[in-house]
Amino acid sequence: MAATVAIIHDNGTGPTENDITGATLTFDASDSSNTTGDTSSPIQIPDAGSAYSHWRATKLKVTGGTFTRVDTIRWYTDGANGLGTGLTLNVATSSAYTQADGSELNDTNYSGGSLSTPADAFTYSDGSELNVNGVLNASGDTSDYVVLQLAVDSTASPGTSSSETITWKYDEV
Amino acid sequence: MTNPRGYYWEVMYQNGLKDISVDTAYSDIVRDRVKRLSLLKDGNLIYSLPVEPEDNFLYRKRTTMSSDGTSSTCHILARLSKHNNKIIFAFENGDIITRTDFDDNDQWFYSPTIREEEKI
Repeated sequence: MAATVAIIHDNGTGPTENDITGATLTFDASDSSNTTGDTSSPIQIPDAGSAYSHWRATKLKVTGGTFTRVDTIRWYTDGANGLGTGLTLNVATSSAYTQADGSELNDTNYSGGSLSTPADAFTYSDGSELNVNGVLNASGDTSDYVVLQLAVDSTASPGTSSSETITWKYDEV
Repeated sequence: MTNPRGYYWEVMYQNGLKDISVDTAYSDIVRDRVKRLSLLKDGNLIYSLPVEPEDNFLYRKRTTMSSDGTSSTCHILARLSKHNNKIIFAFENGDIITRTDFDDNDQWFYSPTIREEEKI
């Protein structure tokens, strides 16, 4: 009597859908969908400017259940960047998928014309959420993408950063 | 007859017959004959909202899913009227909040997307 909903990370050329519900997704210098803390593809701290993780294209997907519609989809953080010095998490939405290649997340590099203007993810918090387009009427339907990218500047410290919690919110009937 | 498990909505019609979400699609409710909209859990009544003939109503299940594996859910029952809205936010932790309108600046009490058949 309720929809079964999953948080999905798309990667690869297909793309491949990876269920990351309840998992911590690693941001590194590869188009992987690693949730085990693998450190084999670190982002090099730049001498100046910013280095970027491969972006992560995430979405909400109905995978089963009995329901009429899922809509009013929102996305947010806890509102405080706890990743560490020199680390910024940027976010944007898009109706389209573009495979990550390590370039900066912007409308030129990401499926030109479909990406919203990236913003600091921590400007979106509970009560001030990012609205995500999507009306999911059947199993298999998905929302628009929430695309995330970690930016690393020269003040960052080597090693694995702290993790952050991301939340999706949606209505169902 | 065994009661359905978990949370579900129930509508009672003016003739006393009932439909529940376990076996009736929300879009199949005969809205102009509904007398009462209720939320139940495991067959036990959580809240019941009377609906007058000139009113409309809605139900939503509002859910959060976090990457740390936590989630929370609120069930929204609303009687929509030109003069006398009543909106119930029934959280699965047991809290029940009653309001007369939605608040789009609040983290839980913002308006859902209103379906065409729910408009007044």
